[in-house]
Amino acid sequence: MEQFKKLVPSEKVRQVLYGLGILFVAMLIFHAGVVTGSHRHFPGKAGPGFGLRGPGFNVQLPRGFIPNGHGSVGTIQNVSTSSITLQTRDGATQTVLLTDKTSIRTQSGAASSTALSVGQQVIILGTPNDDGTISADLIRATPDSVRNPIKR
Amino acid sequence: MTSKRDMAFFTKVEPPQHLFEAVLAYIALARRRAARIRLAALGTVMVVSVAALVPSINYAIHEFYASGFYDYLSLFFSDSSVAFGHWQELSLSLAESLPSLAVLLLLGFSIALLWSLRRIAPNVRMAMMPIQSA
Repeated sequence: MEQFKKLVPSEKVRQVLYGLGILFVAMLIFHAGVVTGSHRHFPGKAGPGFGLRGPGFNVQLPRGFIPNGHGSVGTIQNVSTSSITLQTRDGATQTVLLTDKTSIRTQSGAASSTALSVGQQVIILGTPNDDGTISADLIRATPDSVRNPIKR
Repeated sequence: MTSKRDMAFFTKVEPPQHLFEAVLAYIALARRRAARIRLAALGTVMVVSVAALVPSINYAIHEFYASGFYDYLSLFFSDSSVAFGHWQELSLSLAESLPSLAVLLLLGFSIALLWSLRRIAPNVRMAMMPIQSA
């Protein structure tokens, strides 16, 4: 308790506060850019937000990230020779186009499009198109990796 | 600047007994009252920030998961050569998937908590200080 009493008003805590403040301002500027950019280029694309529910209140916080940008993460719903359809984590459907430049990788290394199957988790990196699709540069199949730590 | 005439006046007028102690006690009382008001305000800020910190941590964890930020980041560890080969798309994806609103809320409540804790300590001492009457 004595150590805590000494630590709280100390110079270190002041420096931490300044650091967090600078980070906060930087994030505020970044978020303003995200909001402006997503309203201009992805109108109405964001899925439902995160719900905070409790006795007598139900608040839906909006998505704070840009959907369908230069990448996507989700589960394969459909595979064809020229495209794959993903279901993203927020429940949206994303079409990913396979091009000559597309490199497909699994855990064991480079693979072809035949290695992709329905139900597989993939990470996509690529270029967004005007019609909302992504031209894939990299498709990385992952094991059923990260599970949602917070159930809604 | 006190003139000789004023000085003569003060030597003739006898100030009430214990005036000095009474003035000091009144100042201490005013300071203690101000410290108690500050303490109440800071205590409210602290309680609100602690209460809001838990859901904001949950929100941040959920958003980091839903946006795929963890997955993009995991590419650096699982397939670093590929990650560096596609560093431009990967950096853009990381920036796009960063849940800035969740980070903002988390930072805001953390700053509020830390700031209120830092300011509460000296106010507690002053608010609990006994006032010695004259």
